[in-house]
Amino acid sequence: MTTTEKTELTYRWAINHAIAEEMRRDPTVIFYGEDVGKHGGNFGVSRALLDEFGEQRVLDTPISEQAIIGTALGAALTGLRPVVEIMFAGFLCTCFDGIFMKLGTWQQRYHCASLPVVVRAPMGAAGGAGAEHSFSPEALLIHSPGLKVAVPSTPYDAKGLLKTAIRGDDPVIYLEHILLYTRKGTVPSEEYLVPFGQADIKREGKDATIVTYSAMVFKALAAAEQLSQEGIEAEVVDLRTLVPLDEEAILNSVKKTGKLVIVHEAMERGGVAGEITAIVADKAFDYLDAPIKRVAALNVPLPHSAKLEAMCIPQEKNIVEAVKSLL
Amino acid sequence: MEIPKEKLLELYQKLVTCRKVDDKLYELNTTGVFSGWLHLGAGQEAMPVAVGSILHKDDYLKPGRGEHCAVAKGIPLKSIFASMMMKKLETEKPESAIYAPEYGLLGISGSLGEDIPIYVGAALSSKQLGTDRATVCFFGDGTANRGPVHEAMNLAAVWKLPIVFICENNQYAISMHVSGAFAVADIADRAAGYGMPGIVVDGNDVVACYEVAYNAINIAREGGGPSFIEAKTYRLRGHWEGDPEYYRPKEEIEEWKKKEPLKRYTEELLELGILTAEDVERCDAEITAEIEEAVKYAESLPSPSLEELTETLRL
Repeated sequence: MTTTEKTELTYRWAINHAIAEEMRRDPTVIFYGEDVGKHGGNFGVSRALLDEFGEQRVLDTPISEQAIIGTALGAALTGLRPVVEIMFAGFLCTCFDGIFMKLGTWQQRYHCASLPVVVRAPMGAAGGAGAEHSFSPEALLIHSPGLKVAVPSTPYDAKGLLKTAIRGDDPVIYLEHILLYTRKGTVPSEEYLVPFGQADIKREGKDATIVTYSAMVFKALAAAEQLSQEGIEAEVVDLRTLVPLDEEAILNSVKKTGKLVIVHEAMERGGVAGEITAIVADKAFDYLDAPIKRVAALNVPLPHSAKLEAMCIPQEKNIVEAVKSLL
Repeated sequence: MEIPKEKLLELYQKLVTCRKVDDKLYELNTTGVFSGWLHLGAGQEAMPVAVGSILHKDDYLKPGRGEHCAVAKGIPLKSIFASMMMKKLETEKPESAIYAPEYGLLGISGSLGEDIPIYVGAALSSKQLGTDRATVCFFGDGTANRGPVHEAMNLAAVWKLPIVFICENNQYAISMHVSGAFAVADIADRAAGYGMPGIVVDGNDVVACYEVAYNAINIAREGGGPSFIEAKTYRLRGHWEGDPEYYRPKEEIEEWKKKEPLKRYTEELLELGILTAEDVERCDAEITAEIEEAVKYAESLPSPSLEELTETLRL
């Protein structure tokens, strides 16, 4: 029996290590974006990559998101495996044709088997950055027929999912929550991958299911802890990827608890929670003992004020209240 | 520059093929053989033919208006017609009028200009992987005003990529005349702003097109970075088949018909004695037969099933 070596890593460094390891492994992996080279990334994710891999493989670009996305697609069709960074996920809207109509459809339109592009983008409310810089775009992305969407919460998942994304043959939008960059977690020293389409039960429980992802996993876990002190055991299902979606994990948990709360930081209307609600209503209707509850952001652009922002997005107490309302 | 006689004849043969494919597509579309929306390119053959006669088979080429680039690059006519009819090819590899990786065609965008960065990405691959594959990107005057074109051209210049941008200025973006869309007389003026050479050429003169494209492609291939060529031309048909064309006078179209590239080049070659009237007739008959055969083959192919349409989806 071998013991697994583990190290403590922040989410930021877990992402950094994933890119570095894959660049060492495969010379066709290149990495580029705005301020990712000398500056090491707006959030420091790509520090030291330029030093190790040089300007040939780590490229700083002008502020040109449409060019970043389009060139990544073209490079992926012609022998490279580009990993690109869009500085904020809200800026995906500046190159949305490239993301949605091109990356998301090219394989199907042209029957090209391989389109290995990974687009990394930091997202989420991080203390009053305003509408664009705080936007959570995942609902727009899952509507695409051909994009995979990853939303890791822990350093372990962040590293394993990114390595899977870089090795895969399909375009992936990989959304990193800004507030998670400094959060630490244990990560094995040896190589590992986390498969897409497999949710992770971050806490087991029998009384209610909380389905969530990204930074909201930690608010959900805190809410579950609080509920536990009152004798209510909530199960927290971390989706890890939204496309492909682990329907089975959601349905199994709902079949066990009979109650479902879906939590996300993105706005409620037209959000991921609506999609999950439809799936559960369709496939596990008879197991539900209560209505499905969504806990999501108000349908507003997030304000340029940390205090107001906090009022617009789900907090621990909203999750606690939603679970209790079903019991 | 001295262009060898066989190259001059290749240009002629390709011009005729492009025009006849265009005519045939019009016929097939109006008689209901295929039903997709159609943007034909009669009158704009010269530059695509020139470029298709310069590029190597594996160089990357982003097609412009009509199917001229596909024809000139040498994609088999049967594949072109089959793809226009959305038929299922018998080959393992995808090959259509717009996506044929073996011929360097990587697909096009319905929303204008969004594909220019994609081909800049192909040029990035050439540089990164150390191949000598050049890229040529066609787009129109209308597309020249789109944001991604600006971003892509700038990035290509900054990274000194092996690519040539060719703007086919046919003077109308659907109904918008260039005079209402540009405050400069020549779109090629913009090249200076990207730090690349900007060349204006008579886009209906196939030999002139060949010369400027030849130089620009050589510069790109040899590591000299991108160039921007503006080919002034005119589309002889509407923007789409069925376009009432209220926006341009009939006299203007008639004037340009006199300057269209095939007629002009045929007259030149006859005058120079490179072609005889019999050659013209024979070439016409041969290409007509080739097209008929390709169409017959395409019509005989089955349409893909719904399962086949979705088989590349792995999500």
